[in-house]
Amino acid sequence: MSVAAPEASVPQLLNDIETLRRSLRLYPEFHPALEPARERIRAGSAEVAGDATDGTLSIAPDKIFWNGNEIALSPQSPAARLAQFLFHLGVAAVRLSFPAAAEGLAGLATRLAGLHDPPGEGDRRELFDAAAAIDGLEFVPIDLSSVHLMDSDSSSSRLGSLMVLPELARRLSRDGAFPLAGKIDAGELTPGMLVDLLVSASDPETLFDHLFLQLGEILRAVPEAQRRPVLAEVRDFFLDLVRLLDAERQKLAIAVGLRHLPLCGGDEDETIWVAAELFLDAVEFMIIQQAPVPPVVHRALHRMAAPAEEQSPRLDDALAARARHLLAQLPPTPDDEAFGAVPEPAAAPVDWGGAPWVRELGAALEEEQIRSHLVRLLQEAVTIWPDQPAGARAAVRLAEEFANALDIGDFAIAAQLSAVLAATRSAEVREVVNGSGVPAAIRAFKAFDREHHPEVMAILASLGEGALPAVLDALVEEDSLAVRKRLLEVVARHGDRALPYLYPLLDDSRWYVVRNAVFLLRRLGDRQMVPLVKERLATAQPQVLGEMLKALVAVEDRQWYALLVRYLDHEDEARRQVALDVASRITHPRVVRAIQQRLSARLGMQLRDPFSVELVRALGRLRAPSSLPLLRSIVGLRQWRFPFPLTTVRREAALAVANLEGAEARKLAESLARDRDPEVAAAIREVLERRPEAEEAE
Amino acid sequence: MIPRTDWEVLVHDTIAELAAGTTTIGLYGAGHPRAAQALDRLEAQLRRLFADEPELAFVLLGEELFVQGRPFTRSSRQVPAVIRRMRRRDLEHVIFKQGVTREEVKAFIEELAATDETVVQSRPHIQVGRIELSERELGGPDKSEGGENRKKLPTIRDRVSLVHETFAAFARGGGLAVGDLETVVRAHLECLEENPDPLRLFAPWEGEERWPAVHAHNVCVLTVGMALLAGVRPVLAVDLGMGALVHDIGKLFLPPQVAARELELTGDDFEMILDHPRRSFEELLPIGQIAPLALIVAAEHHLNYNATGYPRLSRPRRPHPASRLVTVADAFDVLFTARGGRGMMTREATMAWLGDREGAVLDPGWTLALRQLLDRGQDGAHVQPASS
Repeated sequence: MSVAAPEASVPQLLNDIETLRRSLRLYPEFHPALEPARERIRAGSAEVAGDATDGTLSIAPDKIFWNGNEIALSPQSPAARLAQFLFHLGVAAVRLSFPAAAEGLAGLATRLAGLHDPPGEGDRRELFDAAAAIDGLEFVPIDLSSVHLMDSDSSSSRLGSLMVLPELARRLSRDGAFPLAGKIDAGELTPGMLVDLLVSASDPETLFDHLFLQLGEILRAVPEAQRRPVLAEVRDFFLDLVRLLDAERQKLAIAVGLRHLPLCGGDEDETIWVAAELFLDAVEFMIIQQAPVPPVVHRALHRMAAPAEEQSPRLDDALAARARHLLAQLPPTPDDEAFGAVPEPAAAPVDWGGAPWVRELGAALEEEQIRSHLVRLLQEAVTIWPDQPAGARAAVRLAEEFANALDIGDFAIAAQLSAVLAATRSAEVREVVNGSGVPAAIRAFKAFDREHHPEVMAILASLGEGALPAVLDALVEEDSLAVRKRLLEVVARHGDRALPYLYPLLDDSRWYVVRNAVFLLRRLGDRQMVPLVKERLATAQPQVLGEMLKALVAVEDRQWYALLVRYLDHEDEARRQVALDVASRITHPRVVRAIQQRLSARLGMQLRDPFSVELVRALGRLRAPSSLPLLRSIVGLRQWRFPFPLTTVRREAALAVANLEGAEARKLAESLARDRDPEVAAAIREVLERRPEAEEAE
Repeated sequence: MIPRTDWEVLVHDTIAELAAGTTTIGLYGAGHPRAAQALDRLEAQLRRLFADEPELAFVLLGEELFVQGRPFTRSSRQVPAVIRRMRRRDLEHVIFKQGVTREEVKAFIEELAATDETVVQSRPHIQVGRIELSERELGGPDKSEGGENRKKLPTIRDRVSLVHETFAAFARGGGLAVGDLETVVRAHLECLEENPDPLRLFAPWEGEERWPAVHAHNVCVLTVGMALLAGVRPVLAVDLGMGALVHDIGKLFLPPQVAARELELTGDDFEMILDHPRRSFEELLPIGQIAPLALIVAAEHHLNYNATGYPRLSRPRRPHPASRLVTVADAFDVLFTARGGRGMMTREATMAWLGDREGAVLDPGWTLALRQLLDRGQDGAHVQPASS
């Protein structure tokens, strides 16, 4: 079996998996292209495996590692997309057991194709729940347990956790050369720990000598591959140490450091480089600190900055350039007398306090100023780069800023941006507006006082027709009745433009979606809905039927009365009740008559039927004077003639009488206040007592 | 729309309230009624969340925000804003614990939104701080990079190298390591606190290849240094420094032959030919973690003080004051490091160039300020082009 380098075979395998995943999202399972794709994965798996029985693919957001070695991926490659997808599923690594993994990887592509992209928590659970069933693969979830959370009080960086220092501490402790030996435990050491010792030492040179001797040995012992990170740690340590020392000991530290980390004449090129880097770091530090630079350092720097042909051994070009740059920053000759003096704290070189340009900058850096300037710039970008990605991205960002403005209740900015966004045709912008802006507006209805609701409604309406689908979706999902009412109002403000979005909703499987759609069609006075509504009347749920009947009445369809009456007589009680509910709000004489007729027909034993009571209540709501004789006959009924209690129907009839205008009705109502049935009398008295207050209020 | 689990919806809403609360307090102050409403909502959201969870942990690792150990950066529109806030306050983890009180939430949000030197404190039910990786097995990157996660950047060269590596990765199509760039700015801030003269921290000319990094570094140093000298608070100076670091990032995408020619171009042609501010703006716009001020600077740093320049606006206006400061620093570094550093321009010519454009191309205030700084440097003999 041929074994390909993982640098090539692993990305290829991941490309194949991603290709299959995407194909499975586009094509049906039986598509002829899929099996060859699976075959490629199996072959790729065998190639990656070579002779090994297992391997580990580790995943970072923008990198992958095969058995611990980074594998370069082109950021736009399918493999990179797959790695990112897996990372966002919470997968830190996949352990593969060969040859079973060949089948498992093809299966993985199928599993992944069934998940959402980008994935959510549900997808993550689904993948990990199914992990056991995928042959040859073991998923390692992202685990942050090795991330140490450091409290803000102790968050300054600690060198003790790095690689070199535990080793240095171990050596110093072993040799017993330092009185700190007993204190250096658990392999921890910090520059601060050493400084106390060095400051109090009568012979600091010996201590430095030992310290840098050990450091030099550690550096030489480090394997090639780890040298750079180790160097970085030594440099950190060196500079921290030097920074903490007084000027005299700084000089000594540098001189001794150079002795053991020789600048020239070392037996390894890398050592020379290490020393040179350290040396230049130290010089730079002294310049920054305005510390006097010793003559010996000057001379060494001159040697490093010399032309290449004069250097022996030859120094790296970059180091030489850096030496020249540092040399240019030093005074031409060191002042020997000044050398060793403690540097004075640096003073500010200028004083610009109160300058107008300073004040202007200070004010412009306030968060609100920056935000409004950015919004302005984004609007300009949309205008000046309309056909370029900059303009498109600016428009997307504007949509995000629009949502942000709603989040924080900045309705002025939101209103300003809504008009701009409404004019944008970009699908991406529309997606952000609908996906983030509209939900933010709906949150704003709940988060901010009612006084702001008209503003939010105006903003939503000004987003234009493009936002209608999102508003209608929100209408479906929203729990709050108050918010739903406002959203219905927003849709209604779009007028006829909303119609094409509403017709398809008439066939939605959710009754409340259909009801909202019919309600809106009625609000918009749309006559074209009539045939659509009529077609669906027979199968409509009772909750929707009422809205449909109201809609037919509102547009004065010529069949509205016939249909209303048909449902008033419907055999299904729920539908009958809905029709009566609609009819009780239509003061048309024919409707009133229809109700009166149905109630008249029920005088007798059918009065015990709850629908009869509803008919009485409907007449009460309609307040038609022509209902008085019929209502009078009901209140006049004698209990002894009926085998069921008349109280309810008589009470409702009495209340309906009390609702009627005219002296005759009033007189009857007043007499009913003294009715023999105390329940009827009490109900009427209550109404009559409230009436003067209501009249006064009018 | 991707369906979310109830847990995700809860976390998403909590993040939204956290972001909105911080912005609201940042904009209006903690005493504003809207701030109180925002806190009410955040508190209610946390209460809902704690019905099922003992704590809510945010951990910022590189460019990723993990919520309860799950990557969440791309799951919520407000996450980049939360990351920006955390970075600004130098936080790498925030943990809300059950029992958190309104007073704790209020004080925490106030500190998070602050733009002064207030430190965000841990509280009995809100733990904050930085992180350290003791194990290097989280998928490998820390191991491969030798623990560079905790970059200390003690020298100028380290900083330039980090900028160079970050730019190179970005130009190859990878993400922009905003956290690393902020580390560079913070390293400058630290040095400038010790010695406020920014010219001491300039990096030398290191050749064409590293020029974008050297230039970004130097413009950053000069911008941040001058801002601090002008009394700008360090927290705000970080955003300014970020703007200066990324202002020319669009140039990374120029064809190599154009990029090489760039330094040969002179005068007004120099920037008219290359519309890199647009490209910088374009590349930075999708990166949520980039501070808004950096976007402004990237787009406007060739918009002249007299409202000419690039981009050409339909309604001419002056650039943002931060952009004007970066423009001055940008021009100076090109003359001082790229030309002066190679012996192509004298100090006198640099001063003359700046003087010629003062009040037209360059903000007269910041140009004057730079001249004062250079004059001081001349006295101290430490501000000289590398070739001198």
